Amino acid sequence: MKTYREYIIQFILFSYLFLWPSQANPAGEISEDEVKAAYIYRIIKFVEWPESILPKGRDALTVCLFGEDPIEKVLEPIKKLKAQGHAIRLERLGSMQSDRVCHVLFIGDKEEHHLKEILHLIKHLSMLTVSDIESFVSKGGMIGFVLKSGRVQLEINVEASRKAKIKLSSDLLEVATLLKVTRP
Amino acid sequence: MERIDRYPIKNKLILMIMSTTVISIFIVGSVLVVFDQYKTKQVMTAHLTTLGRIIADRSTAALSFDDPKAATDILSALSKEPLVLFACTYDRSNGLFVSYPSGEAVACPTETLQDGYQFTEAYFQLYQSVTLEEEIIGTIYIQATLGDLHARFLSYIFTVILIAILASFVAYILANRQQALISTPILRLTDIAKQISSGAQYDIQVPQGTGDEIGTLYRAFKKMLDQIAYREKARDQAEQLRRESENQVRLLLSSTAEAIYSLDLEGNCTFVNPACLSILGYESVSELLGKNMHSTIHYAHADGSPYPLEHCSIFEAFSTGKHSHSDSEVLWRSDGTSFQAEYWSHPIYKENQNVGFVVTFIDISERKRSEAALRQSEEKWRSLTQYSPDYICTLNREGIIQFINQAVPSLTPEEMIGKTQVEYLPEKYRSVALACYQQVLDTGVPNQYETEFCDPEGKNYYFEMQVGPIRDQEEIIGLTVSARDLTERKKSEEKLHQLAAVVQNTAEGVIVTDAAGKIITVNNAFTVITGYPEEEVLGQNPRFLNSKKHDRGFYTTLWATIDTAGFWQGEIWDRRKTGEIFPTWSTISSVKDSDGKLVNYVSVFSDISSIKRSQEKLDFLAHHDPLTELPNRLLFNDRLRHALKRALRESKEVAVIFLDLDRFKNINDSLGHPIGDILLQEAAERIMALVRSEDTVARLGGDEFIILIEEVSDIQGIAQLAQKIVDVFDRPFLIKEHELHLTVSAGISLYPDDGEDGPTLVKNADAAMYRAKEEGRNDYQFYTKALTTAVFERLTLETKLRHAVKNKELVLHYQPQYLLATGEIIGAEALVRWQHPDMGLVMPAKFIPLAEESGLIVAIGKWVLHEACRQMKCWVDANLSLKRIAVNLSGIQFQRGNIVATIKHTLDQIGLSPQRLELEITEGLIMQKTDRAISMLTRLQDLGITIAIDDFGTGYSSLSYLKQLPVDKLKIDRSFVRDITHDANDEAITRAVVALGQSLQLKVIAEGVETEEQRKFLENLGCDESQGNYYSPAVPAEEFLKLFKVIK
Repeated sequence: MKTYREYIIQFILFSYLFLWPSQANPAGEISEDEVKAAYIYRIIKFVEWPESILPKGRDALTVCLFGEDPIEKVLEPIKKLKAQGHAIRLERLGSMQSDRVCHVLFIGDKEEHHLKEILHLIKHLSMLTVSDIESFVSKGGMIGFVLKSGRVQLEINVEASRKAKIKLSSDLLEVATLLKVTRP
Repeated sequence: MERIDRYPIKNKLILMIMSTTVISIFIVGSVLVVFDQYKTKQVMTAHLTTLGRIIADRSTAALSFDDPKAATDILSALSKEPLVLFACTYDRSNGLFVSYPSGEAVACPTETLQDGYQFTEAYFQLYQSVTLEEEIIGTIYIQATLGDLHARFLSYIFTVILIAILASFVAYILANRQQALISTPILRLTDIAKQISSGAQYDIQVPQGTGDEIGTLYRAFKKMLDQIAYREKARDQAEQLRRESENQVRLLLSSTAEAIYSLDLEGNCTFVNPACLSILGYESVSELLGKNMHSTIHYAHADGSPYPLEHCSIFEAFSTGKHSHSDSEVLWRSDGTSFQAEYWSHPIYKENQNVGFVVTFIDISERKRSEAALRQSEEKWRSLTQYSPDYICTLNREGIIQFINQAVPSLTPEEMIGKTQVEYLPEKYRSVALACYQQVLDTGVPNQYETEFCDPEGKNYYFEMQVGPIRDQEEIIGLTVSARDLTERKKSEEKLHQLAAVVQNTAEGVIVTDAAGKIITVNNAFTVITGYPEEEVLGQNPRFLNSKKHDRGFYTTLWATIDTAGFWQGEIWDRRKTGEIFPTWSTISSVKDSDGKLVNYVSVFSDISSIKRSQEKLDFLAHHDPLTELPNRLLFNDRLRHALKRALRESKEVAVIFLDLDRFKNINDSLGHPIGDILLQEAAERIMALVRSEDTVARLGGDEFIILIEEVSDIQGIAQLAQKIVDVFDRPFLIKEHELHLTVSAGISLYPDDGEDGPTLVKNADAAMYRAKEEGRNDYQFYTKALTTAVFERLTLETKLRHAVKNKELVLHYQPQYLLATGEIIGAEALVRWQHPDMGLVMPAKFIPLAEESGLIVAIGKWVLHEACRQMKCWVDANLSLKRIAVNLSGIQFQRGNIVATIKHTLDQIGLSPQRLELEITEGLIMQKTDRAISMLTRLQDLGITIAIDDFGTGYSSLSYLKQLPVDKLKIDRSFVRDITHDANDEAITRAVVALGQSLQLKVIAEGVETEEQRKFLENLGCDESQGNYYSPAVPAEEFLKLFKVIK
């Protein structure tokens, strides 16, 4: 059972993640990175991983970060949340102790020169790739963040996610501005 | 009610029709109106609720991602629904998020209610919450118009009343006309009935009438009249008939051939007919009328003894009141002669009172005689047929059985007599039988046919049926049919026929010999298989087929088995007429007669040579690699699958070892495929020698091998095996004139820890093998889950290396090179190190391969060259007696960029003489022998730079080829130097390199010198220079300087 204290914390976090962006005025009281961090958490709710990668009710859902990116700092509170009944873990790749499976891989935009190699390496691993690298989805990534008229918007590559056996809810596709779909 | 009763039918009908019409229309109309209202609301509710759910469901992401544009798009789907007036989407805090129609002011409710819908006076309102993971994140509100629902209700009611009025008017007109259909016929029938009662005339024409109940009444009335008329006619006809029959009886009595007379109760004659008079020999009726007939014609028995009246059987009819009959008495004629007579006596009754009797008789003397003759003939015939073994029956012309002598199995003659004979025959024989009968009936010539008969137990019998005519005078009145049972004979004939066909047509060879072993017969297949025609082998012993492949003992056992068990079965190799020997699958049996005496041997055999050959070949081809004859991927996967199944059942472990020969491609490229193939075969043999027979070694193609180890006892054992495999490649391969050194990298994955299915285990073993390669080859690695993250490690390392170049974290260390003869320092090799702030000093083996792969080597190489030259220039300026500085060049540097220009530019910039620079390139680079690389080296050599070949001895450079290359120096690889004092091979190689250097006038330097012993050895061999930890490890520049001073 959760303690009273935990409920308070969770409430505050929810408010932070959900209400803030919608209340924000266009002048931008909160940063673009904070919006992206909130988006990563929301995206998780619309994604279904294979049972073998993320057994129902067991294991934590691991969000991995690759490369230096300011998002790391604002993503920190996500660790206290739950999604789809899983606790969320945050993992910084590149440190020796990480031997866990990643469910979400956020690739920092400074790592663009590695992108092809990274995508090749994890081809069979059912990792949801998210990045704000420019034209991320046309380079083979699954979900890309783009800034359009002052708003962070989503681009989705359905084909890439299908190859990795990751199911994206059609609702998520509804809010995407660009869809890359090739029928098999 | 009473008043209505008095109404004529006409008025009643009109009233009934009108009231029914109006009431029906009112009921139907009301129900339709109510149902229409209910249905419309229901359809609307279902439709809009569904719509609401869909919109709520699709809005989750839009609300979640706070995307009003997407939310508006979703709502705008409602534009297709004309009933919807407006709709609103609220966020989690019940604030209005978006509305539809967009851009218009919409009266969205300020308060949202719970999920559900309601009908108000004019609207339909729906609330539907939007949920994500069971949490409400917003609400959809839809308001729709009810449309013209109310107006439609009023207009329906008005229409129903209007229709009712119209309908009652129409009903009155129609009813007025239609009532005549019923009332008119009833009036007409009344008129007819009145007419009959007045005239007693029955043939009055009654109209046909209609099909309804009134019509039925008409017809019944008419039938009644017909019935009365018919009965009157019948009475008249009966009277007429009675008169006619009386006349006929009279005529009959006088014209019949039978004698008839009648007697009164005293026995006196009251009537005689003419036949009676003529049989008895009287002239006229008067002679007998009134006479006592018994005493006149019946007074004595045939033997003349008196026949008293009391015994007379004719009078029995009188005394008993019943008729009597006799055919054993005689009557007497008027002339006193007697004759055999058959007579019948009937009492005559008049009003239940016996008044006399009638006697009829005929003369049967002739009949009695022929009857006796017939009885005798029949008895003879019956006796003949009764004891015949065949079935005999007679048929009449219609084919009905008249007689049958003995029962067909399971049927008695009584059952069969009177039945049609062909019915006992099976269907298919009936037409043959009938044709045969018809022919005999037509021609009178006896005939025969064959038939089967199936008894009720299902047993089959065969019969030959002889058919002959039965004549009565010239006319054929019937047939005799005698049946002979051919069942047994037929069966054996059929069986023999079948057997012969089977033997002749079977694909298996058959030999039949007599008891002495001489061939009696062979079949076609024998000739086809062995090549011997039947006429060549008859009378011979089958020994001529002997292939001499079996020893004497084989045949001894074979014959002993036949003698004891009666047959032998197995594989025998025989010889064809062509001399070729072939395997057969043979069955040899002895045949004995009913007394148990041996009469024949029968051998049945088939040629299994092609089956055997193709099976073996196919099986092997499908599952083996043609080059090494090891199992292929297919067979390996199959065995792996079985092994995993077994391991799962028995909770055991299974290991998969993936092997890859290091740099095998180089051998294939430089020495050609034939050598590569032999090498693969020998490598396979070496691996095979190390594993247990129950383990599987397979070649997956190329230089990849894979080993399946079942029943893993401990991981240590697997590690030992992997080490043994790595070690067994230490020994060089000697193929033709080449001595080839090959190493192997191995990766190990274990079931169930590293994967639960075959593909995963193989994939992971492969990944582990790659890590072994990355770690410097010639080793084995276990697969661990950390592998996945290890690739990220490498990527991170690469990023750091990029920084290292930028941040000047690379440093150069220098190892002195000595002239062996004098022990003075003549040069230094510049070696790069990475001084990382966290990781400490990183050796080149760890980062140079990565630098080569990522292309960073170009930048690193450039820096190294510049730094080394700069340092050398300092030392030269400081008057240090150092001849050369050696710098390593990577193959990548040759491929990318203009290395010659870079070097030249660097030397010019620093002001170092080219003679001071030595470039070390690997043997591999030389072996690639690209024209471009060679031309570059030549140009560098022309500048005055010394070119040395690094790691010499590990590649496969040929002497003749080396001669053409622009090379000044050979550097013996440290691996040879290490064991030079106690390994003959290494000594030989070193000796050969020194000799090669001398013959080509190249300098030779040895690296990795660790001991005085090695140094001395090299000096004795005539090696020019050396370097190694024996002298000094690679040290920073300032320490190098100190070293110099010490030596000095």
